[in-house]
Amino acid sequence: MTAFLEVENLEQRFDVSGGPLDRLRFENGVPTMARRIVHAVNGVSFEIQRGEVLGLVGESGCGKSTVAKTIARIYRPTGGAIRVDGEDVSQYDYRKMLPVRRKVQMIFQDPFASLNPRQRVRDIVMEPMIQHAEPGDKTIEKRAMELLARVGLRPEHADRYPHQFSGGQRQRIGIARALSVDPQLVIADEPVSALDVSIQAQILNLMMDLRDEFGLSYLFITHDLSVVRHISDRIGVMYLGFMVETAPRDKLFEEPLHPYTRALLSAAPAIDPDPEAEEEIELTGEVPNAFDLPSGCCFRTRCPFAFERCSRERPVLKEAASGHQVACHLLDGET
Amino acid sequence: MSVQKQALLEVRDLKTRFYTFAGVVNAVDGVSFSVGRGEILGLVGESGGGKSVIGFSILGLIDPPGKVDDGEILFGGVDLRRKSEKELQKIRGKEIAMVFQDPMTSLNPLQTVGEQIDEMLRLHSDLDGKARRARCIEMLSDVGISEAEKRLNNYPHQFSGGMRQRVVIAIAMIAGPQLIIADEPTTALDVTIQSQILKLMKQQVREREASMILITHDLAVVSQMADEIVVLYCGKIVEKGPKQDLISKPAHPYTQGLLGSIPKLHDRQDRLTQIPGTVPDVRNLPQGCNFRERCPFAQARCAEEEPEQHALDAGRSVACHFPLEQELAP
Amino acid sequence: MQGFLKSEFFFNYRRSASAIIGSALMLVFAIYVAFGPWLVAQNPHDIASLELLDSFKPPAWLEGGDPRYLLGTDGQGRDILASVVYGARISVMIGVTAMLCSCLIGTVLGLLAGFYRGVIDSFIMRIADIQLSFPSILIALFLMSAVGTGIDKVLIALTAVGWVVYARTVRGSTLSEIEKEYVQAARVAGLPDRKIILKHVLPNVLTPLIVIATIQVGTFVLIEASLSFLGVGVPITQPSLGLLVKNGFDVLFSGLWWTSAFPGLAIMMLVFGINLFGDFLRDELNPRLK
Repeated sequence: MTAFLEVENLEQRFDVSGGPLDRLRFENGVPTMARRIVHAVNGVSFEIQRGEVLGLVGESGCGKSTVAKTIARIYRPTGGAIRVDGEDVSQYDYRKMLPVRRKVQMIFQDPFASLNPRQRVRDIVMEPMIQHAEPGDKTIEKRAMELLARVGLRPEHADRYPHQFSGGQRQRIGIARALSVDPQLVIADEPVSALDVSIQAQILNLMMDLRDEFGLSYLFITHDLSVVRHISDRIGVMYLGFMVETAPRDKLFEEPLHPYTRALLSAAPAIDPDPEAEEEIELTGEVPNAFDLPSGCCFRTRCPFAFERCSRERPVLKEAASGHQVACHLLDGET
Repeated sequence: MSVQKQALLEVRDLKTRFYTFAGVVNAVDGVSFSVGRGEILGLVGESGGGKSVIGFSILGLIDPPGKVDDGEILFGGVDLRRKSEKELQKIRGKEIAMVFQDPMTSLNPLQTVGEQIDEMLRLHSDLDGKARRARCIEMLSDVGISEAEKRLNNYPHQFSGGMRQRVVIAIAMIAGPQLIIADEPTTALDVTIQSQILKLMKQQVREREASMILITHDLAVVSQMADEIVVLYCGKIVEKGPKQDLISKPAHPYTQGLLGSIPKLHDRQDRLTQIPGTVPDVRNLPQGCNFRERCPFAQARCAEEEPEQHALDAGRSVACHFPLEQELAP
Repeated sequence: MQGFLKSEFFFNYRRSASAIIGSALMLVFAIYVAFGPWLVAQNPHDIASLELLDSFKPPAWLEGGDPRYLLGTDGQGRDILASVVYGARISVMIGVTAMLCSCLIGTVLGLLAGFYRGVIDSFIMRIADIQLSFPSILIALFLMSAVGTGIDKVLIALTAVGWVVYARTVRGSTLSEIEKEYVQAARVAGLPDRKIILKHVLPNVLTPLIVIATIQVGTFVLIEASLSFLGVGVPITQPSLGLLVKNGFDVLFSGLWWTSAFPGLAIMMLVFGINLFGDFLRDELNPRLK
């Protein structure tokens, strides 16, 4: 059986150079047309099986949200393939994409910006269904009400506007909207990071329940390591638009191989500090900007173990153990 | 560890209200706590808990429609509420410094970092220009900024987020304050940067034997940093006590719920123990205990009578009629 | 209505002197526009009803004044009060109609520019930039001299001047709205561009236009008055306030000040009222000031 979602070498660059007048520069007196390109995602590959939860972690600017939004085809990728059920949708236009959208839905980060302030809750939840159903389908309204009840809202909430709800309730509305067309994969972009801890737990529990009930797969984007450990089956770690390590959940936490993953894990604050934690890897410096990627390994500028080869050659993801892939020269054993 | 340290700051029955169009909000409603010398106190709570308002109230920075209505804020034995704005200005920065959440907005974009650090010294010390400059360079390298002398002439936008927060800490520390109020100092930062900054703050506070109030929503951060923890809910203290005890043996159901809500990093469980419901509307709080509608242990008495803060053993106290007694699984 | 009386908007309105004065002035002119012909005894556009013998009567409270003509009469024996009421109708109707046309055209262009970016955006915005680098009265004058005079021509000239401000505002808000997640959610839901623009972007970019539209009516009344004063505005058979000022101006230095002064005063009160109320609206609707 093939994976439900296969992403291969996904690349996303944003040209932010603006119009011709903005681009015109004088380099040593010579007029040149400068381009400024953000290298947001630089060749990322992974797959998600049916019913699986893949967590993507990384710090701000690592491209995890761009990956999510590119797979949801909010953006058109500049390179690579996105195969949904074996079908490459990366360059589909609006019409061809429509049936695919039924299968892939999305939950957004900001519960305040992700709902149109001028739409009633009922209309928000019905909107995707109306787009996909036959005109005059009578069951839509009933299904919207069922979904609202399922995510924990009361029937009278259906006629209210988003501003009358708390952050957690809005996120429930967003979940109901995503589920309305019976998707198989739900992309969740930091769905709990804007919420209070107690509400965060409610939403995480709800998402776990819905996954079992509807047989969903999740692509779960977050910066919070304890959240990603809680919800994922498999975890991918991203840095500067590259995937540096993927592994099954427990494996990644018990045996992180990439220096960046190790640093990330040792930096994460925990209320249950690991008694046998190995010595901490402390990173110096900050993430380079995505206009101008370093040569070779993207992490070498901050890596305490970087050596000559790291600036020469870009490491690729290699299988280090079964299901555990790492992109680091250190694992080749030669220095 | 000495049990009875002398209190540097003592807040007694603080009440801060906001008189808005939609009604009166009791943002801080009868809060009392104290911070000992050299101690780090964590103020934890979710949004609407009133934790930031406490920080601003201590500094006398509550603007209309808000007002500190009642209570005493004893700093070194003197009530700050009786001080005039002019006297408070002398205290702010010199005696009590503040570090805010967003390093982007707490620095002036039009002044170099050096000028902004120097300003604190000009206001609060009588050093001459040369000595001040030396102090600035020393301070900047203390907070981990390399090539400090050169960096003094840079503007805030030439620093990254983490570096900016280091500058903010340098500004806060330079006049040698006795108390630092840090309001979500690392919330805007990435994990790896956050851990750098937290370590720096702890080290600076310890080295200078200052005290700190750390305001945050993140229990994990507080558990790494604080000596004492105060948990707030709807403008009231529900529980306070030494960190280790409070985290391993929470006495208030809300604290227990909060701890259960956080996914564990090292001990994964299949389901989080969640607190049901949402925080009640601050303008329309329930009768009796604020938490009773979400509390799994609520009984008839909780609806009738508002629980008072009462002492437990080992310097702890809780505002609950039926405090919990069992220890959380480690 | 009960809800409105309890709202924060009404609460602040009751406490704002400028809002009350402004809206009172606007109400007076709204009554003129709606019921003008029934409020005054004479129809100044109907030559049959004029008495040439009554020409150049001063206002009623001055020596030689006639109680039938409260604000005096002009050279044809027209009642100044009636002229002002009829003139205000024309001025306000031109201002409001031109505002609506500008708003419609500007909003559509702004939405297209902000939503599709690229060439469309550059094209529309460059025209807008060029337009903004000329004084609006100059553009209107130029157009009027090209297409001729008449109420319809005035409307065209005012719209050509007025759409830019809507286009720029709408484009700006559109750019920020389409970055918001609810618009992305609409895309994921499978909505076509047309529906995303109409259902999601448009309703959320309209609020700032209310203030612009209000104040623009005042601006348009002034521009139209200037055009008519310069003789390239409305025709003599449908005199607006501006044309009345011009007509009176010819005899102003003969001491017959009232023929010009009262229409001028009316323009001032109308624009003043609109601006006062517009300022209040801006403070109320601007989320940044809250």
